[in-house]
Amino acid sequence: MDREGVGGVGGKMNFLDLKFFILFMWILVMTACIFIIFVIAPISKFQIDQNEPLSFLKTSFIQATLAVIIVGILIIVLNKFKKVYLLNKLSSKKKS
Amino acid sequence: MPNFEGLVIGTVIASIIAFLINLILMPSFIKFLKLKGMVVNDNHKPNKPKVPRPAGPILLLSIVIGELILFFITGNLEIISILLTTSIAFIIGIIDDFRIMPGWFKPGALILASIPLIIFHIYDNELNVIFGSVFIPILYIPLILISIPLAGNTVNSIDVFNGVATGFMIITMFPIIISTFLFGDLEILMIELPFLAALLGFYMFHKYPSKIFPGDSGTLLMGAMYGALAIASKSEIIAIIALLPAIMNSFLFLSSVRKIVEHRELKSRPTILNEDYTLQASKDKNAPITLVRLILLDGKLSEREIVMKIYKLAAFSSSLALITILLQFIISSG
Repeated sequence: MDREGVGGVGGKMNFLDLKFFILFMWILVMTACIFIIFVIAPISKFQIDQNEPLSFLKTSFIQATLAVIIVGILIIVLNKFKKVYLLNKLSSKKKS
Repeated sequence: MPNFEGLVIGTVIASIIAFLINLILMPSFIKFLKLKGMVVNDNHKPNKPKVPRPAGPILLLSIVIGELILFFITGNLEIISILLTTSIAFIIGIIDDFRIMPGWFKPGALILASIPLIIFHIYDNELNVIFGSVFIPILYIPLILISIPLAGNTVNSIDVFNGVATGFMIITMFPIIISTFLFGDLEILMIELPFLAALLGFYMFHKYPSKIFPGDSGTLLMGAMYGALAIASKSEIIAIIALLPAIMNSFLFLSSVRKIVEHRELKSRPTILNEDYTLQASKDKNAPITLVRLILLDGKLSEREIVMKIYKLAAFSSSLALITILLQFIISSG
């Protein structure tokens, strides 16, 4: 059967690679969650202590800015990972 | 509000009805669509058979009836809110099924589907982020406005082969159900089960080889309801993790095309169909990168083999979601 990647070591490796891509994305999501808990969440606790309406809006603005920055960083990291992944993938394909 | 036993019986009845509506009405609907000439070519099969589309109306009907039964039992307004979101997503999808709309239409219009969730305040002011929760009453609103279009379009973009969208949704519903069981409330768990039953009923017709395609109306309503349930059950992060293969697909596509476009607008296709009806990755540098193109990088595969690989990826991401649930359970009980 002329089907690379269906069975055999080559095919399984490739599939593992895609799982690895997903695993990497999972690690990124978990890292973002940790950042949210340790950096963004304490900001709201500080605001609740203040109990002031204007401070409430300021806090939300700071939290939103930080959240956008996190998303931006995640996209940049994922983009870099994608490039490395594709480069390795294509070079291994050429070798085989 | 009936007792626990009554609620369980009500949920079982609602789920069975949602499942049966698909099973009973879909064959007649397939005949109706064929009669009206509402068919599209299934391009990945010999002789390109004509397959009816869209199945969205029957899928929506099964979900609405199942959920309304629950509403009459519980009186829970969250059901109405989720149904409104799902119905708006369906309307957006049906417009796209029958008219050629620009690329921005679906993500843009799906913002409207998020509004019932905000009006009915289905969300908690605290976002559950596994390691704890963060109090974001204002920020939650833009988050919902983004989440529903994202969920809808992500599911829509993965619907490239027979049964993929429905099978993918069924697999990824399990972590949401377990998360709701452990951390959410019973009433949301009750809403999730008729949805899963409707998906299972529809899968009988959508699985390879498809007897009917869901169309944009079907995939958008699936994605929007999934997103709404994730918000209502405080399982947003779990949903993101379960949907990672689909999110990866959208990310790869957007980062290679660098704009929101419909697949039909693309000049170069990510895959090539061979004469033996297997598919292989395109070698064109301008072709968009997609999940399927990555799967095919090692060699050609048949449609059925690709579908199975996507299901395995969904099972893998759902396993990661289950590990995350376990982690959350340990942290919250510790």
